[in-house]
Amino acid sequence: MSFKEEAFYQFIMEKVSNKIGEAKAAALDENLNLIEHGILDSLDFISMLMELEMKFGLDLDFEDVDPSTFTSIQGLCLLLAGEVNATS
Amino acid sequence: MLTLKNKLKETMSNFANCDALYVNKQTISYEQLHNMSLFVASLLPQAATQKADRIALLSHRELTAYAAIIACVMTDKTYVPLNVKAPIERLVSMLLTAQINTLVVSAQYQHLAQEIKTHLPVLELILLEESVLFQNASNNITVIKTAENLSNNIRYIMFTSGSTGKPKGVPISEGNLLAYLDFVVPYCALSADDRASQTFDLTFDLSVHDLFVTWLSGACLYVLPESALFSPGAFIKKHQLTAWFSVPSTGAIMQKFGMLKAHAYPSLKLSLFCGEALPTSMALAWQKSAPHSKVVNFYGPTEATIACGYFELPDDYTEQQVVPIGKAFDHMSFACSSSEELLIAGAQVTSGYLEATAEMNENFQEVITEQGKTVTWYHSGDKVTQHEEGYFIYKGRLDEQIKIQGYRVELPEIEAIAKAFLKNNLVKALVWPKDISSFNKSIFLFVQASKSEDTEQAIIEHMKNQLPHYMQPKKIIWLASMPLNLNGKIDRNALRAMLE
Repeated sequence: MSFKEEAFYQFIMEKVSNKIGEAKAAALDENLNLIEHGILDSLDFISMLMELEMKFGLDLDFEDVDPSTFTSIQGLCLLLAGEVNATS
Repeated sequence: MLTLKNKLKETMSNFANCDALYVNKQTISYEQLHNMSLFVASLLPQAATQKADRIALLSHRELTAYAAIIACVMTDKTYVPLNVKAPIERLVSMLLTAQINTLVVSAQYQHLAQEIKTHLPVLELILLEESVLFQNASNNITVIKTAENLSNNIRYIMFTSGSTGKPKGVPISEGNLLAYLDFVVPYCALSADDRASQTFDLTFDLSVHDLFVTWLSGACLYVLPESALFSPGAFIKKHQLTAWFSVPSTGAIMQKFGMLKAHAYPSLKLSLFCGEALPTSMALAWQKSAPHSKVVNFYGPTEATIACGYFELPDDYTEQQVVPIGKAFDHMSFACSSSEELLIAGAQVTSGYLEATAEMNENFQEVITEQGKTVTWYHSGDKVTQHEEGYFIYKGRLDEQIKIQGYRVELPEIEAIAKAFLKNNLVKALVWPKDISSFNKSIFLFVQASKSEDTEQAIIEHMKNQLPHYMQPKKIIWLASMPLNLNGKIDRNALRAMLE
């Protein structure tokens, strides 16, 4: 994992921990769809995306992205990493 | 005049082999949906008493819920959708207010239903499993005799936030709903070739439009998966949706995340928005993105059945920053009071809240016209001005009701719960950002008291047990003293400045 990916991961885990507690967050399957399983609701998820954009200076574009591919911890990390590679 | 159940029966048989529903990657035909709903109807209580007439529904936007709603219509039952994410205490209070004895529950929420039952032991649970519905998809159960006349006149009850600290139940009658459908079904002009979105939670009355406008037209209803709700671009394209209906927040999120590019959705021919103010900039971006679509702002409170006013966006509209409320549907009336409040009258207005106190019903006022007719005007609480061309323009609220992604939230309801728990009257809830076009609004709670970790944890826990997720404060801010304005009231502007 690159430094950037690690930072994304930490940031997402912090948000998830705030919601369900650290112990539960650490035990989560990283491929679990956070929204379909009620871990985060869509409001939480959008706030998190906006904060990620602000913090890491990203401009996310989901035009043709199937949302189920990035609503898991790992999926979102990969999407963000891809975004960084595409713009850098 | 045809009843809703007879109209539905007609389309169910006329379009038997057409697709009625796409949900959870499965396509269901009208015939299958009809059979499934007759099967559910066979499980519902048969007696026609008020207690047996009201059926609560604990389910997400899934096949079992759609079959159960049709079953209720077919057997003259009132359906009362419950939000699976709401706290137990709130659900129990709704069941008590609506005097409900029967709860239809989809298999995945069985544990939640059991928990509710521990608070309400008289509650009869009817468990629905999708696999059982499929087993009955080709059985035409004829034992369900549905009477020609209506034995019960209330089609659904929806709950909305109440400023006194308790949710209010809004009963909508057969007459209210038919008045809406008789106007809106021809207006939307869908046919068996159309594919219409279903984005609204079933506890939000705009979902009633999705279901019945689609199914009375022989079109197919496309249920967006939960995770597609904030990123629906790929879903619209994949399924070539032709009709869209959502809160403006969904459009604003799409605009923010690159999903409203020019000509992205050529399949759409009708795009409706309702539930909160529609920012003009987003509506125009949507128009460019869906070049073959009419873009229409719908307006209306739950008390007047789904929507009762509309404004079709003209090309290159620039006059207002927020798309106007527009004019009333042909069979409805709008008027503007001396305090600039929008008043609504007509066949869609509910007869009043469930278990209403005199104070709650103050919003409904009877007026005797010069012809001696009694007209009930519903006071919407929306501040408006009237354009010289006759349509109405939204200017804000006259009270402290706000919208969070279309959900109605009475800030005093949150304050009432916090005040009672903290035994402290110096409490104020605010929404921020205040900007009308913001789609990521949050609620902040200000309390005059010294902060203690224990109290903060306790109040957060209490709010979680009392309020649905969209009403829970994002943050509690403890103040040594509450800023007051010259009239000695809590100064909201000063509080808001602390959030900037």
